[in-house]
Amino acid sequence: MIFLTVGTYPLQFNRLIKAVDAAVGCNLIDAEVFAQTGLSDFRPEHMNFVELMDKAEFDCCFEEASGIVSHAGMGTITMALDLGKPLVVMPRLKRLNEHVNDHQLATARKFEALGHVMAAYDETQLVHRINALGAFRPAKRNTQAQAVSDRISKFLNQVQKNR
Amino acid sequence: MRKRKKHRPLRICVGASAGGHMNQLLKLLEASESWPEKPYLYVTTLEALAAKIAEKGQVYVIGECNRRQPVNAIRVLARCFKIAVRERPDVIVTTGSLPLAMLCFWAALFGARIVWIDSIANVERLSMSGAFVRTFADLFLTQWPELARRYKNVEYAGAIV
Repeated sequence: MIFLTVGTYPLQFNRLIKAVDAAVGCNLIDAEVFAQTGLSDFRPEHMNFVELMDKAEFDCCFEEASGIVSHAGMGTITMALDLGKPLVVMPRLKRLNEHVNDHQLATARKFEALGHVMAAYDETQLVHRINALGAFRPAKRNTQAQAVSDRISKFLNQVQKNR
Repeated sequence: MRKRKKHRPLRICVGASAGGHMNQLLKLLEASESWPEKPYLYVTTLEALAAKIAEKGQVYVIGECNRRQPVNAIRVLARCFKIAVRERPDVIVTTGSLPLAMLCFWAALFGARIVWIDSIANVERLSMSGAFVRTFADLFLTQWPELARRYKNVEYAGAIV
């Protein structure tokens, strides 16, 4: 199963859902697709979907999927990297009223360049990338949560001391 | 009186919008054993997340908004004001976004110290909310070294995700 999610950001991302739905309708995608449509009002006709799941259900769906298709949101990207799931992202664009700025374009380019995700910048690329999900192995990412937390800890201890 | 105040545990409030912001906050908290106190208050934007977070402590859900939704924004601003007045946290630690910037704004007015970690999603420039909070934040972190070099008073200590 491929899991499609457009995040919980309070703006629509109909373009991605429509594109996947149309591709499923035309038998262009080899796998079954299940979608969480979030705050988008487009209703898919060719695949099963829910608007919004509980976090626990969402996690379960994510874990069961063989591949993920999503907006270029960091929540999804992080989860996919943690679980080693192949992911195709399509950035939300400001000019189509999908976000308030184009930071997702920058995120998609950066994480694509680092080999962490595949990116699709239009509907045609999207179908190709989805069908390539099975062969994609995301590059592992090195993170420093402990170092960030230690920096904050140092600050908090200072605040504590100066009270 | 002064002595009692000094021994009162640091009231740390943590917060993040649903999605990537919350993801980053939770990862940060997993590594937070060295903090002087555990957070006593959690703030997020989506009811669907509240149940999971409630296992950790008290949760406030302030709702989502962005700068294109002025009515929602005012509603969120009002909820943040209530939290700032009622809870009077000593410190806010947040990974954004706009709804949490509103909480930072009010809490800072009431004397809270502000720690803002700009989301990893801001690759080329700081978020607009971050740029606003930077004007009064006490500790401002980015997760991209090139951004720390470009902005004053912005530190890079690593990437959470």
